[in-house]
Amino acid sequence: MKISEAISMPECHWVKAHLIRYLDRDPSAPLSDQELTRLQSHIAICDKCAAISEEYRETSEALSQLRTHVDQASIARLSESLKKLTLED
Amino acid sequence: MNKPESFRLFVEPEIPVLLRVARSLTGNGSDAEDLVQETLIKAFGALNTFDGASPRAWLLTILRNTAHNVWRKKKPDYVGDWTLLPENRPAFNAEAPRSAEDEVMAGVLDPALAKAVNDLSEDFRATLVLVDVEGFTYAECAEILGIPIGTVMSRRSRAVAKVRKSLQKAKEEAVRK
Ligand SMILES: [Zn+2]
Repeated sequence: MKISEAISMPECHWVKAHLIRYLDRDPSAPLSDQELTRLQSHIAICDKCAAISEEYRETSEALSQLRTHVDQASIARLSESLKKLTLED
Repeated sequence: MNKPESFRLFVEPEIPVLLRVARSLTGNGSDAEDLVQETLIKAFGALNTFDGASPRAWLLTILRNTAHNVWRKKKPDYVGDWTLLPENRPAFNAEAPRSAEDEVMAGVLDPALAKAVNDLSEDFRATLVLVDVEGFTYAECAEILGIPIGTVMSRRSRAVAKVRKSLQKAKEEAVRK
């Protein structure tokens, strides 16, 4: 192990722990500007974390492609019965 | 505007979302439709419990309770499992044209991905299906599963890491062959 690798290992750990929040950018768990800069500047210099980040992104994208379309006929039937339900009252 | 009319107006746009969650829960389209139907009836009857804040969150809570309380009694074989419905889903990367090499890799990764997800424990799989596959936010996922947002994040993070590892293994094995 190179000295530079040994020094950056705790930073790698921190980056891994924050990676999902970074990639998701979910409104309920945003990273602060400071965290964002810390993460991006580490990924820019650490090949290992850059590779993990890319793999996470690819995994997430592959998963999103498993999404199926909602049946339009089902939606139409449910809208119709919702109408009946609220008209009956 | 009268109450039933306003109920219809705020519920109708949420039907597709309810159907997607119901399908993840029941594992098929027709049961999902029945579950949503039941949820709408219950929601209408419980209109006075709606605080006006988030119709989606309120409806998802009713859906979850309906699935757990009513559905389980109605369908003894219902296990509350979160499935990916492999029979209905489009081919991996269906929209992008593929090279011969991509075809081979997709043939390996598509089943590998489904297997990796199905090998997860139910808690992890539910979170992953809702956030990654169905595209719900952390907050919506937390609402649907009845767990804190922090738990959604940690389950999600560990689930993605596990799936990534499984895919990596499948890729390496494919290259070796
Ligand atoms: Zn690193």
